Amino acid sequence: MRSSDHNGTVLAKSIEEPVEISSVGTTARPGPLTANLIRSIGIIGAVSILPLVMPINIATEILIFGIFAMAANLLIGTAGLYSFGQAAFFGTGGYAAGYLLAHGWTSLPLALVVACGSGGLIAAAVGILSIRRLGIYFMMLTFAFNQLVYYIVYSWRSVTGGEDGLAGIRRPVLELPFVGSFSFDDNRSFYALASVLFLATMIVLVRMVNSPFGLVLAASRQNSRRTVSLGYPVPMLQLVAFVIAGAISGVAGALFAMLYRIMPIDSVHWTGSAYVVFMVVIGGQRNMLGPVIGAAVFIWLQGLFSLVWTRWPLLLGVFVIVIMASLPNGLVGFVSKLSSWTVKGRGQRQC
Amino acid sequence: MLAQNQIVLAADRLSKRFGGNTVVDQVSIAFAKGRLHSILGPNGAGKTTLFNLLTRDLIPDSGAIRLGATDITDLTPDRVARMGVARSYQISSVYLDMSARENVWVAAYRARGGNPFVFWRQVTRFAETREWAFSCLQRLGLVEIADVPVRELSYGDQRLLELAVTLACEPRIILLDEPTAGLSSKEAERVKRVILALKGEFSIIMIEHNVGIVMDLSDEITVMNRGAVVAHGSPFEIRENRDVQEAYFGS
Repeated sequence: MRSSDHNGTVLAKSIEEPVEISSVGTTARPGPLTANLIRSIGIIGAVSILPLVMPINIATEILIFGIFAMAANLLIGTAGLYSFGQAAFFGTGGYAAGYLLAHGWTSLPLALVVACGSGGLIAAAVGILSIRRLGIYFMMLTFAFNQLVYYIVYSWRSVTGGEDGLAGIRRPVLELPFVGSFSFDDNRSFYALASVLFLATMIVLVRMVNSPFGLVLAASRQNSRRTVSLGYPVPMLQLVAFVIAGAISGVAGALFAMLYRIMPIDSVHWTGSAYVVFMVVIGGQRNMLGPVIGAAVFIWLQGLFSLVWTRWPLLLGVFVIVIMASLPNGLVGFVSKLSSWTVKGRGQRQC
Repeated sequence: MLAQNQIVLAADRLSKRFGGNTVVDQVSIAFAKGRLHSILGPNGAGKTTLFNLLTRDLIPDSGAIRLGATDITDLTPDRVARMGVARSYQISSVYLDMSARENVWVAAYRARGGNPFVFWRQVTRFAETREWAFSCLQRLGLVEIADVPVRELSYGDQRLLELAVTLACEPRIILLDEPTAGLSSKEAERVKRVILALKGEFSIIMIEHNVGIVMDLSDEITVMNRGAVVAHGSPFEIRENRDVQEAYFGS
């Protein structure tokens, strides 16, 4: 009597196969206070040191793609939704904010709210139409919508600049009452802005993954039918996660537009969607640090390989394959496995 | 016939076809409050499909389902679950990447009216849910393995955890789909003791192939074959029933 099973669950299962450890769990669960403190100091320290060891724009790019990859990991690692259309939301946010900033608007909060809102809105539209499809069908649908958005951007020259990209973007200004106004024309102050948004995103997402919302989302990844039978509206939860990820991707896109003062058409191409999935896979899905490490390694390697060889994507591809084949839990999963060999015993959870 | 106020769940001429196959054919069945009612039948008799219809995992082609006095035929499965219909599955459907504690927490949270759209407050901060979830683990003797990832548990422990999850739902009625499938006789005995302990406190509907367990535990038995009810009665009556012997016991 298994005829009642959804035909798609089998596919979804096989895709999830390599993920062995939940993204909900060990790392992010508030354990001893000191461990959390050390972790936070470590991350803040790393963010402060980053621009000292590499060109500052590369460091900024790592933070921007870190934000983008963390948002993608809410879908991949926590919800088990393999979206191959995230670049559409990154691009939407970038173009929307970029358009305002290229046409005389200067307010930072406005640019961010518009990026967030437009990314989330397009994600809601795509999500409503694709969230009930399972496994490979979901992937293909998100991919197709990404292509759709790409061609809209490509053909709507008057607004988007078509294949030349949207140029003439000016960095916004933050006006604070009583304090004065901050400009981000200087790359160091722009890096500071990116770090604040990066850390805020990380805090929000880590908390979200360990909230009832995140735990139920992780439950529906592991067994969606069971989660429904416990009384949860799984498709609605997944849709909300999809919209949240889209909104955050929109913010990342806006920062990217501000960084180089141009929104290139490539940023909304489906390859961007594939890259962010690679970042998550390289770094590891079990916590929010994984995708950030993945983004850093990916961007660093991209730079390195492109200096070595003009056909650098080939090298990058080989690297991704090697990581996927040898480290199913990504770099972060590998490191914590190493440390669990040296430090015996697991932390107790308290829920 | 049962008095109306004693019926906790009832199906009225329920049918389900897959293609040209009528898997559940005009089944009418009533489950009484506080009783353990087993459904017996050979493979392909339509037992699990009947369960899937009762929980609305499947949409019936015709017929009606009532939970107490409420018609639930047109509700979604998550709504039906929230009205107190809890089930365990034939194949273990616990969350393998979580601990036993987290598994039970997810069930307990919703049963206590928890809103899944809480984004900021941490799972660890819900003391009442935590205690209720823990008491369900305690009841099934799973406290010692509460923090072990479920993937590492024995199959027997996973089945018991599945029962703990079902209990955590604070159900009005429990549907058990082959609770001892795939277990060693020793593990099956453990599960049987647990079900015996729950009996009377909950209304239970059970699909089970282990005839010994069915005969020992059931208050009532319905026998199905080829999608239809062929017999209904006490364990004693069923044992004596000729049609049943032919259809099921094969003698």
